Amino acid sequence: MARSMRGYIIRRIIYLLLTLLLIVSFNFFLFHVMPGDPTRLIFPKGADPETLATWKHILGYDKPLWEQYVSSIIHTFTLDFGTSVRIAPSAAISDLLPPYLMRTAFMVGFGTVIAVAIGQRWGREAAWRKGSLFDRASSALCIVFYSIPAFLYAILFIMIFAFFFPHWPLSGSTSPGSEFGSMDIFGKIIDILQHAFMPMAAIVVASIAGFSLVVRSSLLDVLTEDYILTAEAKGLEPEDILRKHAMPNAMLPIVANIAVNVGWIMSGEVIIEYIFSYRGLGYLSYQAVITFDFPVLESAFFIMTVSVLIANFIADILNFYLDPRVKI
Amino acid sequence: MAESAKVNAVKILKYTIAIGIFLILVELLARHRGLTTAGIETIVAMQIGLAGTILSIVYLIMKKEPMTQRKLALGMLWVNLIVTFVCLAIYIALMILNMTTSFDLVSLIVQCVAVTIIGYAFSILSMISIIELIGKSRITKLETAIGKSRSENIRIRWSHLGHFWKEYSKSRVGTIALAILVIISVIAIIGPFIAPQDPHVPQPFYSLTPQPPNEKYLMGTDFEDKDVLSQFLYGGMPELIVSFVAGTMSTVIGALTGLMAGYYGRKSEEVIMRTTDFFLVLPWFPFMIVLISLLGRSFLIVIIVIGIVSWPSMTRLVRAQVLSVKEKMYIERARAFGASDLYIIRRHIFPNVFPLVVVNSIFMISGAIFSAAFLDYFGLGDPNVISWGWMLERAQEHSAMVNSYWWWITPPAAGIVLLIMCFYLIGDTIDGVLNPRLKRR
Repeated sequence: MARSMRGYIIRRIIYLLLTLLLIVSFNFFLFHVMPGDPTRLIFPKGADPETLATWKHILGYDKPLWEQYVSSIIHTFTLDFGTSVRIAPSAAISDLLPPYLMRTAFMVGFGTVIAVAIGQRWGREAAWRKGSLFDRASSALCIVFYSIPAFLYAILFIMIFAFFFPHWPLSGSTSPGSEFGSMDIFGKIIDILQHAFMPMAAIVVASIAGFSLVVRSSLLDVLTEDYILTAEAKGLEPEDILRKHAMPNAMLPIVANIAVNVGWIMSGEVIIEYIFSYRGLGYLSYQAVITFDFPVLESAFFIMTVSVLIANFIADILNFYLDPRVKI
Repeated sequence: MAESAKVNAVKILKYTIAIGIFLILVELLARHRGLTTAGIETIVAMQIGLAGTILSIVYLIMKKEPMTQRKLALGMLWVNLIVTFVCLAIYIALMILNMTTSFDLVSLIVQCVAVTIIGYAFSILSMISIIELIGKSRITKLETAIGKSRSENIRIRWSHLGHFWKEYSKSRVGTIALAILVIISVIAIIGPFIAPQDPHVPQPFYSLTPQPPNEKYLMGTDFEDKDVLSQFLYGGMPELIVSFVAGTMSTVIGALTGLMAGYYGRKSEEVIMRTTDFFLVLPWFPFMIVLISLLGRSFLIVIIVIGIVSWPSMTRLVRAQVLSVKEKMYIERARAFGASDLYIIRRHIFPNVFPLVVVNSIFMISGAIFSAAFLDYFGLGDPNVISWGWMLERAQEHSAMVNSYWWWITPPAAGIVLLIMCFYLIGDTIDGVLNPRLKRR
């Protein structure tokens, strides 16, 4: 079968759209079908029936189910996510979301890149010097790091920073409104970076170990192959063997793993945002959970799922580039 | 014959007396903790045991053909499985019933232990004696024919286990991890009984300033002057229950779907694998948040949600393994002899997949602890169940980190990390023992 990039991408896009449709349907099932009448969960028992009816109308729960389903699909593809109930009453969620989404995308994107860069380097060194003291120490360290839930890193960082740097901002994504407003542009940038530093550090540290372990094991698989022995026999420099023969072949499982790990990092991100009150999607979903603002929760969940989906899509395309054997 | 029947009758009597003593002990323990309801459950458990016995008798009488050991063992297994499931159903029903009224974890554990262990033990023991009563004469004849006695069979099985243990104990890390796990489990089980204070009971007066460790409170106190040590001792059990039940649940779901997808192929594979792909795309933690906020915060729901969110990776692994085994010649041969699908799966495929399932079930368990800790910390755990995650959540609520109340945070955090790490290392070691080819790495 001929390898055609375009055909492959088109097929992946069709698959992506199908999955998207499935996600919308699943979301619809979760939020509209399962618990019966969601307004009953959102509003307390003694709520004024007239208000209840108004809200039911606004949220679209008074229509028949199939009509709700069709409109939810249409709304998703026109990026209309409905109306918030509690967090920003009566405001359109599509206006509410972008800043939150930006912050989370910034966090997860940069966090993943940094973690991959460091983890790849680390795993490579460990695999190359297999059996050495460095390898054994780093393996042990990786297992310890791997076993620590993301939020414990956050707790640890907060404790350390609160003790050594009492003035370092520990929560929020910027300084309080008035203070932030009075800063000049550099001050603003520094303030934002300062607030982003700790959650970012927590995410990176929480995900380095996983990457490092994957890089190490996949590189070790490659290094036991015969062609590495051949390369050694014909007198290639060790550095060249690693760079030209081993790494390209070890890349495949690594890329696949990064895609899977985006979901994992997203999960860690949610809890880290909650700890640092960093105003991202995770914080928003926490607010939505405690205030029973289901429309907001639904859209936050949808966005997070879609971003993981897109990460997987990108990984598939990358895999096609890297592995000539991929045909479908 | 008459002689051996008499011996067996004496045996049954002994078993019954032993179980009776055990029941009385549990009952006494329950009364000591002030739980009068546990009595009903022990009666239920006894009835289940009796039912199991009657079932086994019926089963054995119905089967008129000469019984080989395997058939007997299979019959026992099936009846036992049924009894176990009934026990489990009753246990879950009791849990739900408890949920609606006042919820007390210790009473739950006592009930759970009472119902499952007693019912199970009772039925097994009585069945063994009945099998001996009815089947002995037939078996002895068959034993000579087959050339393997039942005890020898058991001995071989034990020697397998001994061999496994020998290989396992070669790994120092694995042994240490297992030892730590055993210690943690023991602490978790006896913890509620040796705790100096009942953390469920609110303190009448409190100072709002946590005290660091001192002579009265070995691990200091939290905001409400509650002993951290007691909370720690109470908190281990829920953590273990969640991890085992949820881990087992996702293992069973994942293994079954993986077997089906791998073995039957075609449509069922397509459907199962697409579903798996879909669930793999959902980020697990937000998904759990959504499910729990829709279903409500309770212990049982947390377990179920963790169980149903974390199965897809298992399905993928099992399916890949089944696909590689399915093409082997001996499967072809078995099919040529007219073996049914179920037989092939049971006798040829499952034994090959089993090591993988065992190893990954352990990773599933450690993942379940991870998830449970995340949920507790996010404030979505059961607010009435004291667990390590719950302790961390309360510490977070009272901003213990910013104020560096390390004695409040360290014990639960260390507990969670140690548990996850132990399971991870044990899984790794078992992986090395069961797949020796991996050792080269």
